[in-house]
Amino acid sequence: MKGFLARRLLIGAVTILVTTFLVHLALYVAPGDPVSYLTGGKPTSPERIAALREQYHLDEPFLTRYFSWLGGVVQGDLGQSVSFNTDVSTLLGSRLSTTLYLVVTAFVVIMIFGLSLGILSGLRGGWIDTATMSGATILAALPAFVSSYVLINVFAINLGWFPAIGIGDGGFLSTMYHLVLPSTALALVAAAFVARTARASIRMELGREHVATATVRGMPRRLVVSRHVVRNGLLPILSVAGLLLAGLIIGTAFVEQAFAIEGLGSLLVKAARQQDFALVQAVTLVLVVAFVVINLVVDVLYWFLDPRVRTVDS
Amino acid sequence: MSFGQVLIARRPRMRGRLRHLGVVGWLAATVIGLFAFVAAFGPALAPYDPNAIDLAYANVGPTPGHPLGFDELGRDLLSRLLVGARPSFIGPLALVAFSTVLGTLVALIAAWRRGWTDTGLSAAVDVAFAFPGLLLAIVLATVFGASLWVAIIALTLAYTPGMARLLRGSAMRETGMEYVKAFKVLGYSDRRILFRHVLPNLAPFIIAQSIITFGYATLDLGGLSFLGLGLQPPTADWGAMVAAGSKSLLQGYPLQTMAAGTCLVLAAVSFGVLGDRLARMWGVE
Amino acid sequence: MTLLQVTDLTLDVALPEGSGRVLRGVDLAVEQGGSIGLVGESGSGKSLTVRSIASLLPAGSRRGGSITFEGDEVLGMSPARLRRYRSSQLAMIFQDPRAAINPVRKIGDFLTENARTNLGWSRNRARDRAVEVLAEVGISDPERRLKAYPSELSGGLLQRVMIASTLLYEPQLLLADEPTTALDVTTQSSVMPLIDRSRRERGMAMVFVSHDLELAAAVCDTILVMYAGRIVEQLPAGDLYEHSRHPYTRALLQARPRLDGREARLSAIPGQPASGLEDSTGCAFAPRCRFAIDQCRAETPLVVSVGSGGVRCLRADEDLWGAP
Repeated sequence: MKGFLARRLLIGAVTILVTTFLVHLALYVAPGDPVSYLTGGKPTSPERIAALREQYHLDEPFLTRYFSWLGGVVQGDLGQSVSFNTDVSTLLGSRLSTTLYLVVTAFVVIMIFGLSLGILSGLRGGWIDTATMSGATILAALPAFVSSYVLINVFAINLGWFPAIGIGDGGFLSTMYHLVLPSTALALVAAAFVARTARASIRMELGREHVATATVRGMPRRLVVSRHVVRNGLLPILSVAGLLLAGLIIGTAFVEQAFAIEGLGSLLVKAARQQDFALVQAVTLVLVVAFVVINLVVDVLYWFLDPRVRTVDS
Repeated sequence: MSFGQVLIARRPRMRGRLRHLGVVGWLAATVIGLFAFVAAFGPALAPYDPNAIDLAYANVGPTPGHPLGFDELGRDLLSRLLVGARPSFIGPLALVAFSTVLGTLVALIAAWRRGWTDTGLSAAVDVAFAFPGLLLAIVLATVFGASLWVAIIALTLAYTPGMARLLRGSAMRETGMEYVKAFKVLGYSDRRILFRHVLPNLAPFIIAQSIITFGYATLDLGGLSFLGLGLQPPTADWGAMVAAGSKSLLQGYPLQTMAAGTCLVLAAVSFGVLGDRLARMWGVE
Repeated sequence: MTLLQVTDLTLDVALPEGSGRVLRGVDLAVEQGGSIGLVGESGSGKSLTVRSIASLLPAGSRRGGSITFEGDEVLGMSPARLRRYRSSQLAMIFQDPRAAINPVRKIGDFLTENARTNLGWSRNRARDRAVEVLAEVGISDPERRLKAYPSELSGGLLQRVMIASTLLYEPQLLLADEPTTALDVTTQSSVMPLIDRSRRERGMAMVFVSHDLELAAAVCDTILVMYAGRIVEQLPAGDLYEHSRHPYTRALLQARPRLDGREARLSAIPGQPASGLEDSTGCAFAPRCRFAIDQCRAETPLVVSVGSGGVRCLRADEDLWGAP
């Protein structure tokens, strides 16, 4: 177990370093003078320019710059955003929690609806199966930036059941209320995918010999289903959970834009449009760390839940 | 080389019963045909100047002569949709073309050389595959400035590993076949075997997959335009129009966003369906 | 006393293009403590017969005929009766232990699951008994093995575990579906005697399914040969070599390679084995039979009693083979 964990942590750390290095390299490769990016093209005083060159170590070789940035990160300094004219860390603070709420809520929606409908479809068949699969096929083709507006139009503008934009005044209930539509929009495509995958997996498990063994021993149906069919059938879902979460995180860029929510996704997009490099770099760092942590957790969970992994590993 | 193996070298490629396409397949093909037609002739087909601003007509609904009404700046919506079809088509086309060519090359090299080349390429592909395309597009847009071409290049880099992975299996199978060995023994050059024999045999699979990918490309590029990281104004593609109509939608005028969104989704779904049916028809699932 | 009686069992399975009949009137009987071997090639229906006895039928299939266990009709049992039948009176060994044992649960859970859920045993009682039976089947260090996962054990060991699971309680009937087919020959030769000995010691009746005629003859009292969904010959195991009469049975016997090397060529049965699905008038084996006459293709032969067995052949009472 320890060897496994150590290996995964090492790969994760290397991934983060390599990615941030490549992103940093991109600035180096970029056409034009880095200063103009940093000033956002606005006319600036020579003192300010000199200060910027100093701060971003622009006169120093590339590797030194990279390590200074890295050093700053470790101490909690993510640089300055030129487009917002504040610390990057301050900007990230509140937005991080907003996006977190959004992603977690969407994930819960996916698991509750996508997973359970998928399992039911696989176990029961019949009209539930047909209905769920048809629904899944339709939803899978609807990208988040379109479904957001469909939801807004129907449920916010026409029916008035939910707010169309914003995140509310900060209270937990208000936030949740405002997040219903955005998290649904975010969850739709992934929920469709999970439903299909779960159904396929359950059906495959139902046909397996060990299920027949349990049945032939007289095990009650509901135990056969819970202990042998569902328990085994959920493993493939776990293996795509990492990818799923990564997709959700990326998807926040669209949903936050549509619902005018101030989160990491919309911040990233704004920063990119303003060519605010320090901000883009910082948010990318946060996202990559998030991906690595998610993959690590999934791998560890898999290690616990599937003994076959342990045998291969040792 | 035996007669049987000659037959294998020359397999019937893309023939298949057209009725396997089914009603849905034909519908999809029609939609795509329409899409391509409008993309080609959009500007000529547009009844009004798509850039003619007239604020007096901002967000006015359908009227006789203007079946889809107007956008937030009083421009004829139908004309804008027709004109917007071209970038919405060309973008994904370029993306699919580049990533297919590159992905096929990588897959063929890995399948031909095998051994360490394959292991190395597969590892590289797996690593690259894990990186989200959108993030790459965002970083490149930051560095080079947002434009349609930056988006296309970024997504090409993101799609290529996926394509390579997809094609590797079939490429491995194909290059492992008897006729390839026979041709090598006969002294044919690598290039000749690969491009005159292996590639044509892989063509049905590659084409079907490309068409399916076209659907995803439409949505991905549309999404980037929506975020303002693709085609820049005043030229508009459907993705940008979804964004442009958002304020109007909040005020109760959803037509622009919905129309542009419907066009995107319809196009994407059609490509997916057609690609899927073609794969079935040619027996290359 | 007859423990198990199968009469005219027919089975229609659901297929993409409709339904197909895979079992066409199977009859067999097993005495208390007796053993029968069900032998045939793939597609003959032997596995399905045995699964029908356990009431383990594929979804969407229709059965006809009757299967009675201790006089109770299996195919119409109430859920409670079925549960009692399966959990305490019946035991089944499957062909591939790695597929038949849930890979994400411990061996101990596999062994004790039935006893604890259906027979109401306490955790400790089940555990102790599990250790006992593991030792009985020759597995060393049984306490530690209880905590192991299937992926940690070899195929041979897993099959022993599966056998052990049938010894925990006192079933009256053992259904063994090709228990050694998935094992290598050396392991086969240690596992098979284990099955044979255990069931004799406990007085369990057995239905042993195999494609290996000799193996079945070695461990069973009666042999039933199946072809295309029907029983084509039934006879005591001892009579197999000298007194079998069905052309298929004799062909199977002749197809075994001789170890004394006196044979120039292996005799094979021409053609492919037929499954019950291929419905035709006349004898299903006729296309491959060297003794087939026109009448064989026209009418389906009925079973003819011969000695202490039966043969499904129109030419059963003729001496087709000459003196040995």
